[in-house]
Amino acid sequence: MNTMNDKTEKILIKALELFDQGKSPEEILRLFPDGRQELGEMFKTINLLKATKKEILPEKNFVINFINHLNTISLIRNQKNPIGRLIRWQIVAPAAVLAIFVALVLINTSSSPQTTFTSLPDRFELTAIQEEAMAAEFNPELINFLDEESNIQEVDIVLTNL
Amino acid sequence: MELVERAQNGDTGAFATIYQTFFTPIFRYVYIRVKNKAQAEDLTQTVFLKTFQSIKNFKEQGRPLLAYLFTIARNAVIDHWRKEKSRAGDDPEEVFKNIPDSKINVEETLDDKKEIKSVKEALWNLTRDQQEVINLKFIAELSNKETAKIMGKSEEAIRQLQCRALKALREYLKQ
Repeated sequence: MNTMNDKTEKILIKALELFDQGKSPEEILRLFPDGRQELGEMFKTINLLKATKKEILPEKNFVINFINHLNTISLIRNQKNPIGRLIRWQIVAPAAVLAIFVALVLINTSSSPQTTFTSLPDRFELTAIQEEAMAAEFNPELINFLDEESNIQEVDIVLTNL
Repeated sequence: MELVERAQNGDTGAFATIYQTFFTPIFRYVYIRVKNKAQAEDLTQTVFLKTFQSIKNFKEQGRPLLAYLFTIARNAVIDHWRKEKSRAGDDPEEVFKNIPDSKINVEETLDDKKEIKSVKEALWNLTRDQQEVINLKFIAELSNKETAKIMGKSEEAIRQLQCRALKALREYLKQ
């Protein structure tokens, strides 16, 4: 029994293969006289399925409505895009640049307590300002007094060491 | 392929053409799986919305667009059944109440209508795999190779499955 079923199944499988390749049911039935009854029923079932297929159709209005819906989705998408670009290039990008600038400033402040600026010209400028201030503060008479005092101190040291 | 490329570049008209071309085969597939016309229409719409959103990621690579659509449809149906409880498909009488009559062709005989109704009923009584292979091979008319890819089986398995499915269908119709 199983052997017959296997044999019948093999015929049906082969027949379907030939049918897929474009052979007509009549040609296939001629090739397999042993399986005429089973093959005949199989092709009848396939024909019924094809007839059923024609009966299964969507409502026409549904198709039209969906296409209109699709156009609406597309319009909304296109409208959103300009807003997205605006957000990206006029808000986010400048904010990112500002954040980087602030970060650099903070880094420079934390690394050097005396100087506020890291750029070399600014440093030289500051030193020059300081030297000018120091020079301006010195009184010439005071400079002379200090020089004399330092000379006297040197003599005292020499005499003490003798 | 040109149509797909245009749709991928945002051409809504191209996508609408894809929709009009493939809506009916996808609808048929979904309808046979869910047994309810209104639900089938909604799910088919979901399939195409998902396709619209993901079409930029589609690369043919030996798989045509229709097979891609069927894969999305299959997953949508599986998701649908996960959410739904056991449907009226278990009760054929309930199924026929929910299905609106399709347009009546004056040339059709009463016997033809009865026979087609019987085929639908028989389909809904097959196992899931049998129903799937009949749906993809004989309703959607996909090749063995495409059907195998969608169902995740070998072509040899598909050949055997379709043979057994047709036989089971025939047995049920005889009753």
